[in-house]
Amino acid sequence: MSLALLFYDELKGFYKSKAMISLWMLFIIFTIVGYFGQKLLGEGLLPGTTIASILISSLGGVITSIVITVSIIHEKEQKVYDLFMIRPVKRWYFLVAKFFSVYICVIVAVIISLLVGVLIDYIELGMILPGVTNDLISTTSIMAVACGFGIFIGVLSPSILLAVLIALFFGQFVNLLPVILISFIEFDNMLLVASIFAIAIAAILMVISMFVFERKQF
Amino acid sequence: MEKKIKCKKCGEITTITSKPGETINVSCPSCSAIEKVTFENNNISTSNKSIVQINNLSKKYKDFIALNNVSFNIKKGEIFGYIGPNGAGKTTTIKILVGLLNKTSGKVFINGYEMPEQKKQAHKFIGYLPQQVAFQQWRTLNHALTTFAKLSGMQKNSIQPRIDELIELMKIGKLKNKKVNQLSGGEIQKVGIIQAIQHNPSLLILDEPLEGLDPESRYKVKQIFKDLSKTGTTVFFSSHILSDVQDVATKICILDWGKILKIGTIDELKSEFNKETQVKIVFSKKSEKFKEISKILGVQKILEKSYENCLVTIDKNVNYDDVIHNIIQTLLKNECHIRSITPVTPSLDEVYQYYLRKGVKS
Repeated sequence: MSLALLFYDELKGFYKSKAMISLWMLFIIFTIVGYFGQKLLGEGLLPGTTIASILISSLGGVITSIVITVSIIHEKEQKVYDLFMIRPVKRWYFLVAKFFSVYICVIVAVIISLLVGVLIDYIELGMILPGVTNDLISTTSIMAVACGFGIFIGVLSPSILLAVLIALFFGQFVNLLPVILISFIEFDNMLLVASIFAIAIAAILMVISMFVFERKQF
Repeated sequence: MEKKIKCKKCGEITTITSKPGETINVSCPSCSAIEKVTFENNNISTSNKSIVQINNLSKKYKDFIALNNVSFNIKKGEIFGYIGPNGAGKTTTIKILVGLLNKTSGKVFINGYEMPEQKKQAHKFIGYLPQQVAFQQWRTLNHALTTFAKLSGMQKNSIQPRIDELIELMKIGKLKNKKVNQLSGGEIQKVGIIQAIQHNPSLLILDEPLEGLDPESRYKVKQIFKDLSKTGTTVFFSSHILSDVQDVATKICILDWGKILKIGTIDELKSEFNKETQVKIVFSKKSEKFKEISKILGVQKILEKSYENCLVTIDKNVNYDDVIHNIIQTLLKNECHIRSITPVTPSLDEVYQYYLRKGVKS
């Protein structure tokens, strides 16, 4: 009951927030600018959906991590959690609620930008390219890592500045960790394995965050 | 929790330790007879039991001792004022009490539940207002209060009427649908007070609750504390505004440098400070002969504050009523017209300063 309430509340807060609206807009801009940018440069042309998938997985992931981490640290600094912590509610509920509310908003943003990519492909190439579902699966898996990493830094970092720096320097590496891991192993279904890795990494980051948050002093 | 039990078979006394509410089988070390022992949950059922018990509480931040062996109990229905200068350790005590901060040593019980080990159970009884009240900026006043009411376990159908009742009481009904970031500091403080009391907790822990409130609201909040106390709610609050503490607190604790300087009712605190009694005499007409009162047995000192009034110090060891009677008689005999005679009682501020100075000396 409390977890559902917190999740619903966070979702309500996030989808209407300026940060999330900016994120949605940014993902679409990444796709459009990315596609037409490479076209202007005249290098080997990648389809719009692939461009959307690559840019969101890398830059979008880092930005997502920053959005979550700034939200958590800001709320910690403002002492927003004090009033929640003295209620008979498990502390880790707050992190799980935040993770899923942001993740759902991000998935919507990913779907919108991939649809923009599909539209670009359709206009430019006259067809919808196969593999859009794969792009969606890989991007959403990486976004799970990005959300988990954002919460992880948010819980551990004492200041917004430090958290943003960590997200900028290590975010891309952590987000692409599932892809890096599968490059060492041979599997028939690489996408499935990468997705499982991504979920596992996100889960590990969340469990550590929850453990630390449970013992944190406010 | 410790308990001494006597073996029914051989009479051997054994000390056992367990958590409140637990039932354990105890084997007698002498005759090995097994007995079932239940540790009572110190839930407050009678008015003389303590709802808050703090024993030898200490808190260290690296080398800095924020709290040093603090011990006190708060009984059900008491309004406990916790005062002290900045950095005395008030907020640290409060944060440990509500389970936001871990103690270094000592024992803290709320309603019989040990903190922080049993904080989930203890939190059901607590209403808390932090020194810095903050809500997520995107929430409206009503939304924030509804969420906290639900998380505190209030019945769904009773939430909105209760919120409406309290926001009207605090005169912020018009702000119900305003976002929290559009409210002023005083308005946020009022919302903070509402979230602390809306679920009718049996223990209210408030850190500077009257800070930032206008005089009318301060009066109203103090009245709320008094009303809650009458219904059995215990109020523990810290404040810098000593006149407010004096108005509502039934018991006061003065803290400085992490140590308790004095605990007691206002009268108890004043009695140690007040070694002598003073009366202020205001004249409508005064003759120089008024100094004759200095000859009265028990009158220690006369201090002329102005032409119209003077301060007379009376020895505490003589009968106060007799001395006053003699003073009036003497003044009338010497053609002094008295407008008023009032006993001078020290303010809490003076008492507070006295104990702080005493604490520094010791």
